[in-house]
Amino acid sequence: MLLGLQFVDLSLHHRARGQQLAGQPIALFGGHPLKVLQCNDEAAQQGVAVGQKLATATALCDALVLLQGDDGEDRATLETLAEWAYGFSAQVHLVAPDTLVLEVSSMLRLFDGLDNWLAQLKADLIRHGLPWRGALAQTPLAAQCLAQNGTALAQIAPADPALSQAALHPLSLAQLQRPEAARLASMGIQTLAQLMALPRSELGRRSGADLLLWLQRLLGERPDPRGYFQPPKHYRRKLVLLEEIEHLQGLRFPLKRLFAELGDLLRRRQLALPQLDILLHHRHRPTTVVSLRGAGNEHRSEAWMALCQLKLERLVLFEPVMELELVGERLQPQQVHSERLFAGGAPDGQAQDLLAQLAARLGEERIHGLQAVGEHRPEYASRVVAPGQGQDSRQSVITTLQRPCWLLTQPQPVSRTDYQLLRGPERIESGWWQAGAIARDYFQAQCPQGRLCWLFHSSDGWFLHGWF
Amino acid sequence: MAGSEDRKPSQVAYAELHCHSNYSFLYSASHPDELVARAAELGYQALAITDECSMAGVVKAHQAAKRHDLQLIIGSSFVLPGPAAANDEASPVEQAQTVRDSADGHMVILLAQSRTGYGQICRLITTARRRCDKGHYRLDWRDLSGAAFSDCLMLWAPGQPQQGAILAQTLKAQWQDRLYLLLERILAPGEGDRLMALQQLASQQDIPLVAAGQVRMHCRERKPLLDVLDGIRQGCTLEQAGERLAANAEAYLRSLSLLQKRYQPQWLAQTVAVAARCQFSLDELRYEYPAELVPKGMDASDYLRREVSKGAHWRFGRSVPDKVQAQIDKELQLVDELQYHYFFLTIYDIVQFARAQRILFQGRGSAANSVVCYCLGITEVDPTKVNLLFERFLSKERNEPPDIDVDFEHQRREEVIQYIYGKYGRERAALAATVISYRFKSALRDVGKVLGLDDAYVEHLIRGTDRRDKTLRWQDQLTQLGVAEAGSTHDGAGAGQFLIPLVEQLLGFPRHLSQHVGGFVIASGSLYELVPVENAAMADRTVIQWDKDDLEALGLLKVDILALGMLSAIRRCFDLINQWNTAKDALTPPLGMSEVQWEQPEVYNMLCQADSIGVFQIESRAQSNMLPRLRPRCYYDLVVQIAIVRPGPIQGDMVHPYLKRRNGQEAVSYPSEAVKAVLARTLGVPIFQEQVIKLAMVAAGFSGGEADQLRRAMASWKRHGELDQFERKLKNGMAERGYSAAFADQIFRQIRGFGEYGFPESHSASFALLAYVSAYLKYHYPVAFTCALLNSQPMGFYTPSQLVQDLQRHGGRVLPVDVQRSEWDHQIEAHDGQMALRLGFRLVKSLSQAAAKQLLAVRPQGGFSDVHQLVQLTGLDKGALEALAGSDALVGVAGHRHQARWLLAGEAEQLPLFAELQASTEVALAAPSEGESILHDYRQIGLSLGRHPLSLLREQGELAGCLTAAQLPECRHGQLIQLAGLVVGRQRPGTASGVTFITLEDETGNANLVVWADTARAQRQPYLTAKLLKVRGIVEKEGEVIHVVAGRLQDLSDKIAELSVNSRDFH
Repeated sequence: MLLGLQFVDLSLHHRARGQQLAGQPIALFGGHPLKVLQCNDEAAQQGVAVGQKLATATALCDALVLLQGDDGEDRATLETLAEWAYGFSAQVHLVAPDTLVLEVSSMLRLFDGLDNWLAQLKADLIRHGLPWRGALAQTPLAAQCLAQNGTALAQIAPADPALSQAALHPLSLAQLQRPEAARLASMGIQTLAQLMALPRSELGRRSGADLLLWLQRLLGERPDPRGYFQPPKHYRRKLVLLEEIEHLQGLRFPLKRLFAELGDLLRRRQLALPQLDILLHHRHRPTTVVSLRGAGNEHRSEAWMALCQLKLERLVLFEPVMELELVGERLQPQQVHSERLFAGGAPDGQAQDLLAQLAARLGEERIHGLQAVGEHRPEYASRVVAPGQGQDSRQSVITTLQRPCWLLTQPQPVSRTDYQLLRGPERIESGWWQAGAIARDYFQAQCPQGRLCWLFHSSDGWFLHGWF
Repeated sequence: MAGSEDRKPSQVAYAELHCHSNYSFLYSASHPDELVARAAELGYQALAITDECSMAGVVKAHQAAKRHDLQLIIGSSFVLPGPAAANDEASPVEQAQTVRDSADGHMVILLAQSRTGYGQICRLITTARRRCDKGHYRLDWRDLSGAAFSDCLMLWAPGQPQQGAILAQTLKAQWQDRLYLLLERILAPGEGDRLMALQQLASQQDIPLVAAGQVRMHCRERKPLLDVLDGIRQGCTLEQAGERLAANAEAYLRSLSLLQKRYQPQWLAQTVAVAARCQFSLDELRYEYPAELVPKGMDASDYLRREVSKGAHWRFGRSVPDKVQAQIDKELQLVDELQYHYFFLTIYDIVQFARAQRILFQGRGSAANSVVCYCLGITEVDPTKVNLLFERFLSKERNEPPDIDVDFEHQRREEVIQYIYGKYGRERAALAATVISYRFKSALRDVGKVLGLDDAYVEHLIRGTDRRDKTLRWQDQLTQLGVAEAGSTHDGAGAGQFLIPLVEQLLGFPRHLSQHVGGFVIASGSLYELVPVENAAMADRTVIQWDKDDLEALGLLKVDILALGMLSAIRRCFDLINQWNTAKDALTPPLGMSEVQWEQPEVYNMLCQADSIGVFQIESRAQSNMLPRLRPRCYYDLVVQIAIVRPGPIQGDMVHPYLKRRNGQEAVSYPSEAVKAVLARTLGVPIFQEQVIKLAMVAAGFSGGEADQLRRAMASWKRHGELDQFERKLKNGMAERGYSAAFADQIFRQIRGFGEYGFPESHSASFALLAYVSAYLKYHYPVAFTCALLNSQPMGFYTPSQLVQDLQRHGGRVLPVDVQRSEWDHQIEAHDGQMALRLGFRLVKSLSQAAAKQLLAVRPQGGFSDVHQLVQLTGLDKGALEALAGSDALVGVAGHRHQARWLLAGEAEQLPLFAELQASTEVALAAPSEGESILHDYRQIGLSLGRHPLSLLREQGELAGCLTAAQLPECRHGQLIQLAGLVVGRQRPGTASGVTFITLEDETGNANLVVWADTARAQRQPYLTAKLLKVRGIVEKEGEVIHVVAGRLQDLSDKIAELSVNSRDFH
């Protein structure tokens, strides 16, 4: 027995869930030209309909809340739901964009019967807050089709084989999403019942093997092998210490062992981790968590050990440690490092080590990269980025101009007479569309101490803005 | 503040030599006339317009320069790749914005010293443009060898002056004293170094330096617009643009005192010296007619006289009536005086070609309605049969070029165009351009995008703005929609606040050149030296860089070769009738334009009953409503009828007065004798554009020249809004001469209306002819007429379905598409000795003409015996067979649709190997229901010969309480009724404020629904989207015109779907 579970207008409701939008008309849009892809009941009541041009929809409904569709996100949403469903069935099949099929029979002993299983499932579904409908049937296809064409939301139709067959019969081929639906309908063959009444051989001659195979699978006359959802792997290793350890020094040895084991595993499976948590379990106090983060995906045990050393130096233990646990949530394929032919771009291995160590020692929030931006206004001509991110800025036009390396955060008012103007003016007038609009004449000048500096003149007077 | 400047009078003299107008599309923020006006105001000696590889803006600048008495220098600028690329023979670099904006690219300006030099530049632009697709050009240094530019000056701005020595030597050797180095100071970073390098290069190579300003706007206040244009051009928002925008606002026309501060005196003096060397004016251009039109040894005037006299005998027989001969002599004398021989002869030549090819045509326009044109066969208006006042049409006082447009059958116009290209060659004939300008929607979209506003939001704004709302300007409407707050960011400055002023400025900006619908310029020599020619978007089409206003301003003549669907239909109708007649009696004389019986009362009777579906020009809803009110009884009434339902007369409130006077409800009177002379033919009410212009002369004292300006302003009002300057003059003039202010006001509103859509009497006169001919054919040969209309689709106002229904209501018989009988086109078949219309395969969607030909080639005499034979013989693909089955065209061979498709599917999938092995089982499928059949008909052929869907719904009791369209005449005025119908038309005429006309179709005919703006707003959903509409409303009757003013609207579209469960795409 299988359960089909369809989350109606999943992307719309999933996205609306996070926002305070109860009772408002909402539509999901996308495509070109822009069209309504999904809409909720409130919107439908005002005449908004799927497939409508966005302009029509907004004309019909002033207050319409618009959400932009995103296929990638939809897939991720369904996978998250599959992960949840994995708790109810070992065999979960994803039917994009919004349907799951769960194998039920083998789970019934574990859950003590169908009613219990369903009750727990429904309780969870209610917590999700997403509209759904479901149906039980004997084949995956039937379960999927019945769910997608169920009459009521938040209902699961019974699994009696006779009943589910009967429920399928009146469904039209269009509802069953068969590509041949329009063609068959043009011959007056609309419903599954009508299709089943035709001689199979004649049907096969006209519609090909695909439809026959589908029909046989739907009716359970042929097996329907499918790929099943596999939850993502993560790493978790617990070590019960032989004796309670009071000093951090004492943790070094068992940790080293754990890291070695991890490194070995990662090397063998060609995997790496972006982050690793060390959990120190105590007798009374809550668990101490030490998070290690490499500068990229890391798989070398010595690298983890080195980062761990830096972190532990700053840690204070308030209670002895009883158990050690390593948790890596996101195992990812290793990237093979090769030497770059040309300099520039992402930092190389050594630089990554340095970055990771600096971050561990100073705190990540204190490390930045700087990138030049093609913009006339000096204040906007550079930007803070994550270390190692952003493109190589040596090619940027700005850097070829005569601009100072040291730009003052705030221009300082100065007296014109103290300075000797050497070059200029360079006039910069831009940004009228923002609060940061400026109109200045810049000069290179020499200050009384002989240093080369950058001055500008604006309606507010003379200012020093940087040092060469 | 940076850039402080004063405008003290200064002794320095300056000519700006580098200035882009907005005809360097999306690169400059000022119109040519704004630049000229500003340059004159600042006291410049001269201004050069140097649009990038273009002459598109120079005529506008030329006109403005004449007004401001400023020397205009004609030139063009070009961007060339850097020397590295130039030396590389293998890689001609495509000029693009990247080159223009890159540091290595070179920029050169060529200025015309004389007519010869101008021609040299035009030829270069043509060469560079013709190498590339529309909108691009490509040039390299080899194109610029000095020898080919004997009469041009070159101003050169090297990309890297430090590395320019080698190129400088080459250029100096070729261009000698015609080469200058361009020195521009716009306070850019690193400018000081560049200036030094330029000076060094100049002294090393002995090339004079000349100052210029890289001007892209006439005043610095245009900087925001310039930034927006830069963003549009480079496809980025202002936020993203960064250094792709101009760093500052220095690229404007600067005051002389400021220039004095920026440049050394000798650089400034050099500008004036350069200007003095450029003595070319566009006024020197002379149009020379193609000489081959006149036989060798003959004078154009004599030749024209000979041809006209030949034509007169052809038209009028041996003895030409004296009155006509006198008119001919008078007209020919005028042609002599105005030297228009070649113009008439050019058209005569084209028309003769069309006649030889049996392509139907019809001339129109002021000069077309002359006896000369009638004799030359350009028009069919017989002056002795139709009461036309000929002397109006060609007059000496009106200083305007002769205006003749020739309409050809729309499906055969291409033959005429190819004839012209063939006869004169591409170097001598090209289409005029049409400047595509920013309109409200495009401006709002582009500005919105650059300001970073959401696409969806901008669409919402467009949707929420009613441009026709006269009470609220669009600016205020946008403000009400809250644009000022749109795009607000954390720092509080919403980008939306800039939207309105920027859209205001951008409106009317030229965006690109497109091809004019059919205006040809034909020259005696190479056109390339008169005006640059570039590729159009359409393959094998070339357009000149000037539009029709430019041509007119320079007195160049163009010939309009237009396409008209109705001419195709009329020619086809004659052919069908003649075929039918000769089949019955081989001796029946053929019917043609000249055999049409004019002024038949029965034809006018038909029109008076608003029975005009398919009739040229008067079939639209507004026109057919006017018919019973105006009640046309003669040809001239039709001329008025066609012209009266237009923005001009409507906005001038001239319609009702005219109707009242016509119906005798108001006395015909004239404010003066002078006015009477102008308005007598329209009962004292000005209807035509010509009358209004004439009124400006006789009643407001406009001189001939001023009236001419007024006419031009009317033609281009939409783009330039120049009309308002005439308002005071007109009103004062009329007040001085004792006319009432109300009358003056009315006239001016009418002028504005004509500005929106000009429609002169001369065109109306030609159109009325075709209107009569089509009405005549509709009355006497309804089946042939409908057949011809259907074969000429797409054209006209109505769908094939509506045309067929109209024919059926007139008792015509229509036979279905049938694979055994139909041809590609619709045909006339004999049915009980009467004409019947057999629908053709052309109606079947997704059946190509090639497939239909394939079928017709193998169809046995007696038709196909079964589906198997059909498939085997024709070898048609699945799609074509499917389309035939879907149109129910296989009834004769396979039975109803379902069965036909089932059988076809069996044929298509059958593999030869199994054909004999598998005995097929007979399957009998249920026939589609009537409702389904009708829906399938609509889907596959766009019409149904079965019952109307409304008839079915009525039978099913879905429309209880609803009247039919046919019952409306029995209702009394003011009666409350219910009505339902398919929505076949939604129309919002620009002339009726806030009203929407919806046409509802049911099984008995069409009903006209009037929806007021408030009603529409309150019930937007059914108003906007319903396909089947039920309405409760009030009947309004005025004579024979019946409207239903809509109250409650109800969307019944679902009912259509219910006719057939799986059909959602009805219509």
